[in-house]
Amino acid sequence: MNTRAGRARPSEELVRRQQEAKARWRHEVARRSFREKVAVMLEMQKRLYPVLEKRRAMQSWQRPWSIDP
Amino acid sequence: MATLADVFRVLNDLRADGVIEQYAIGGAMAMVFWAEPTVTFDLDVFVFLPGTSSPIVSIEPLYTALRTRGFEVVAEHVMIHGTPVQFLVSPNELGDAAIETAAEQQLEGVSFRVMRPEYLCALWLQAGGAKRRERVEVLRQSGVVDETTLQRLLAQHVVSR
Repeated sequence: MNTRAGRARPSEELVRRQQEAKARWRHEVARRSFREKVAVMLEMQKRLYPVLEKRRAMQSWQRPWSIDP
Repeated sequence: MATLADVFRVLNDLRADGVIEQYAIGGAMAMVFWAEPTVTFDLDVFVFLPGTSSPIVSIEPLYTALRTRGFEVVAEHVMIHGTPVQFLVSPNELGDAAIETAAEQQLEGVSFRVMRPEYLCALWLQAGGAKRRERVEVLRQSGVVDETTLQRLLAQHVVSR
């Protein structure tokens, strides 16, 4: 069984590459159009709402927005 | 169905009619604009309200104007074309500066004003909290924050980093 001390870890180089990839992705997303990003946000609302609703009481205004992107 | 541009059109109309003096989109939607999509269920709009003789500002005239236009007020949110909008009166000088310097943008031919990334970061750092600090990091990693401007704002408004 792997102990914490014996567990294999990612190399510093892998961690650095992954962090750089994340930063590149964020730069790319930031350049997308506002409309495109709003469309993603509306989809996230629709998908997340049923999950949140099961976890906690939602306020009456906390609903997916009934608008088009 | 309405779009976000229709909501922005209402904000512009409120300003044209003198119900609000100025506004700027802040909060999570501003982060969606500058960086990446995130889940939010309301739209934060920071406003200057017309001056009155009282030192304490009342938001009721704004709600009344919106009710007159057919929009419902629900628990400090106004449902504008299916979007819950929270109007936040600028609480301090940093908020004032964020509204004054907001970037004018366009969506479907409708102009709207959105707080600049450096001001969003400064406001979030001023307010504190893990979620807001995380947003600051997302904006930074998106490459949209001018660090010199941010550091100047933090020093000017005595915000701890």
